[in-house]
Amino acid sequence: MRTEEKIKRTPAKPGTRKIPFGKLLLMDMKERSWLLALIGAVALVTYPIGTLLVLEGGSIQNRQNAAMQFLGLTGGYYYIFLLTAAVLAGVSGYMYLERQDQADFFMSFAVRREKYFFAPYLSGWLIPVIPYVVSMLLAVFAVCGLRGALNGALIAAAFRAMGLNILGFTAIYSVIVLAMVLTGRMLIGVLLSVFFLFYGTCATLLTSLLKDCFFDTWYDVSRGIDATAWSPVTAMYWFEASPLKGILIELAWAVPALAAAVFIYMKRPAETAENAFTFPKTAPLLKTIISVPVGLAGGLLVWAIADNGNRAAWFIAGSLIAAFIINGVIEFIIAPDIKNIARHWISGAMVLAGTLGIAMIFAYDLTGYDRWYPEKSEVRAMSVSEEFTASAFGEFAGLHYFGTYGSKPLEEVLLEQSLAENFDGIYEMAGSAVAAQDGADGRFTTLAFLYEMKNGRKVYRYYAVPDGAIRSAMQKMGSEPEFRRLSYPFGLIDPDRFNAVTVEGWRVPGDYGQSVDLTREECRELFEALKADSLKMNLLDAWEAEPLLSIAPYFSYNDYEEYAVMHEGSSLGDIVNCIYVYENYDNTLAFLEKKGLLTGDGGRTDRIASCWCWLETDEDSLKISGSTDRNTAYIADEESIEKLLGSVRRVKGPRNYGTGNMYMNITFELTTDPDHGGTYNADWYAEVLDEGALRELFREHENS
Amino acid sequence: MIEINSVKKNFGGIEAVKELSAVIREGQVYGLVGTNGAGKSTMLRMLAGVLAPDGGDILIDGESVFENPHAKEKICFIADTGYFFPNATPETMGEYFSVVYPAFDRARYRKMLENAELPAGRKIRTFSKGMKRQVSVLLGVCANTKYLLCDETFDGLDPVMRQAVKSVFASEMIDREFTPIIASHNMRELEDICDHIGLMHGGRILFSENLEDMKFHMQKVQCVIGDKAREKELMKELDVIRATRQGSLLTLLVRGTNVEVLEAVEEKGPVFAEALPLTLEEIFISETSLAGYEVGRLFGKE
Repeated sequence: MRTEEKIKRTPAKPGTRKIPFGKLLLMDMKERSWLLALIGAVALVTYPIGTLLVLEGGSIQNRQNAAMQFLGLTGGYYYIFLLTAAVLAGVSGYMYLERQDQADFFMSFAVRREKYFFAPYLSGWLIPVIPYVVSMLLAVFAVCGLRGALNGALIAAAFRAMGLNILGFTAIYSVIVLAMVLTGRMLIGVLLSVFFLFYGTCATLLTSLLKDCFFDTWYDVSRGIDATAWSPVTAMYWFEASPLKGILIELAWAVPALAAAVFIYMKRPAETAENAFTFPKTAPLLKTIISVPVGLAGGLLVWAIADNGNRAAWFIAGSLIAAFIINGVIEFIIAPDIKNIARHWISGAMVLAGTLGIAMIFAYDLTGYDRWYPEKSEVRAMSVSEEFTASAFGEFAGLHYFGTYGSKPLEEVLLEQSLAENFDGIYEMAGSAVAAQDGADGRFTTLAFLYEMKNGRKVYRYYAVPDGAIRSAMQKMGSEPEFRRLSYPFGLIDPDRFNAVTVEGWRVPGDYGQSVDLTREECRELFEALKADSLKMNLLDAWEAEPLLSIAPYFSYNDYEEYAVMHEGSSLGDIVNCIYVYENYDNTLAFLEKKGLLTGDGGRTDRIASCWCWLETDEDSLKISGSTDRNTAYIADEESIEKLLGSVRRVKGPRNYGTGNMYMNITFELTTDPDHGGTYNADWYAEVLDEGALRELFREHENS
Repeated sequence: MIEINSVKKNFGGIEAVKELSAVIREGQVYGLVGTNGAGKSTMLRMLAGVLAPDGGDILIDGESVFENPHAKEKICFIADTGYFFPNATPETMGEYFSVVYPAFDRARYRKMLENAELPAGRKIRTFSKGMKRQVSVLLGVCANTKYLLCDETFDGLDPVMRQAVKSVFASEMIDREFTPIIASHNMRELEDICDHIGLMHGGRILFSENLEDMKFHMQKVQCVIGDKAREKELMKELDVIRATRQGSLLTLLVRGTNVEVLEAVEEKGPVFAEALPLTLEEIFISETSLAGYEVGRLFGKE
């Protein structure tokens, strides 16, 4: 260095001067300009260019719809974009905490800690949000405007999506920042972020899975939907399903995470850089709460593989081994020294003890979950699955599994709607099911029960109920006017969902059926008639009665949008295949006659071209065909079909409680309808009346 | 003035600094010397307000430094392993420093870079270790803070650059209120720049003294008296810290001024007598051995 030339000094500015936050912010953004460029490029490709591709071709109406779907969406594949942006922004903004030289550099400056927290926080928030907003605006106003897809609804939907996605991003980002300030190494910070983001949901789902595997009476309320609330990532699901709930959940993540991050940053000692955790005492706690559920998940895997033998023991052993392994892995990640596993034997023992305890609770039902049966005096009301009642009045498909996106499953909705205070019959049915757990013979049917306790608590259970108990309950409950009003199906079906019906004969196959469109008023009139007629019947009588006809209501539509609007939400009407019409259904029959729907022949066997039949159980297959593998037969000649029809009786499916007979499914393939064209099938659930005849038919026509 | 009052610092059960007290006055170059692991870097980081002391207090001109921007803005800390932004150039680092140090002199910084032949627009990650150190020093000097903390700063600098930096420090001290505090394990490096030396070992300051005072009041003399009786007399008269003999050659480390000591030796009619240059290292070894520390072993001497 040349020292002979004295370099003129600019006089030092006296006194203090606050370091402007804005300058710190800009400096940070400048240092992370690579991230801005990366996210900007991805956002540009995704939104404006993606929109251009989506709007290619089609009518203006179609383009508007396509734009709405593409730009109005929240969540979905945007999860990946938001999650990636949040991780990159969060990790890069606070990486300096992980290295001693960087901590020394930044912490030595005369800048308040809160400024040093919020400068990278705000910069990391702006870096993804600005390109996202700019790209969305380009997509909406420039691309959609040029392609004729711009309208008020699209603008509103796009701004709504932007707001919600930014909120979701903020929550995820704040959680990641919290993880980074809690740790002193980047890998640990990223892993802790994953833990915070997904642990709650995974643990909730694991708990449901454990209950599902080990508790026979477990009823998965809302089928894991509520597990989504335990993660800011999965909670974005609620933006479509229930926006207010989604907003509240995301705020519940964002605000505490940010507050905790600020607090911890202010207290964070600079010397924790390059240590695994800012507060070393968090390590054993985190190790335990991660190792135990991962161990249990490993045990479940072993349980699933171990088909035979003592599965409970395999589950426990598998859980312990998996917990031990993951405990070691975590120790190694924290500090790559295998001796730490022995050094930290206390926390290791806690992990194993916790895993063993929880595994045993599930494997051996130590809490008596399955045997729970409250005192009657503790119960305010009860209801039983609509399957118990609805199937007496019609065919309803897949009640347990049905539920529209974002809403409660239909079965749960109906359980809550049909809670009855006169519940003696249901209570006794539940008691029979609990008692039968000790081992009982006969057929069982699994039904869902809901107890509403006097303390307000709602308890759901699945019970395998003996058929005899079901019949007894049907007789008892079916006599209760309150039960009929709450549980019989026609009060639970919205007639406005339909605009047409097909009527078929029930007792004889081969009826092409008669269809007619109905006005809204006519639909309502029909369902009022069905309701009035059904309420006259005791449930057991309805079960045992043979229908005269079946009515299949449906919605005839030309436009999908019309269908979607009509079928918003879920309803019992969505899963009705057909409604039984009994001989004493005076009102209904009068309506059908008025509409000219009783002029059909009710079915003719000469219309049957062929049929497939298959036996229900292995036991039945063994009885009929001598083998559990041979349970189907294909019959295509008229004589055999007549013989088949003579040896079976159509019954209401899938269960005809309590008779203990043999049942089978038959699909009749009918000849082409000469009046209307088209081919038809008739699906029967039938009771076998003549086993000998059936055995002969199977021998001649069996098909494995 | 920097006051360090009974400061201590632990790292996970390891006491890095133990009840350390010292005063660093303005206008002097303070050298903090000690072996690796003595606690020098920890001490400097506490002075810079990076680490919070576990006990005691550090006052910068009467104000506690930790989490106090008003006190911290008087300090610039040049760490042992300096940090630069990943794609930074000397120019962009100067830009950042001008934000965090309001008094940063950018014009002077650019000029000094030019004089040091450091390219302002080239990425620092392409620089050698020595060049990076130079940039750190220039940033620190141009920050125009009252106190400059340098942790092993002179390591990695070539002798010419080292001399240049010393000149800059001297010049700064003349022109304005400037107090550099330099930590190093190399006593020889600090000897010709520091006014005041503190020796750290095991987290404590064993010795803190003004260098000139030390040298003025301690002498190293080699002599040959030739008569054992007169040697004994001489040893009694002088305040001898340490004496070594090689045959008839006596080497004495003695308290006292140069004039006093040589006069006393001459009175004994020596065959030969000469005052030798005394290094800082020798002073420390002698002084601290009196305190019971085998500091010689610290520097590889028995």
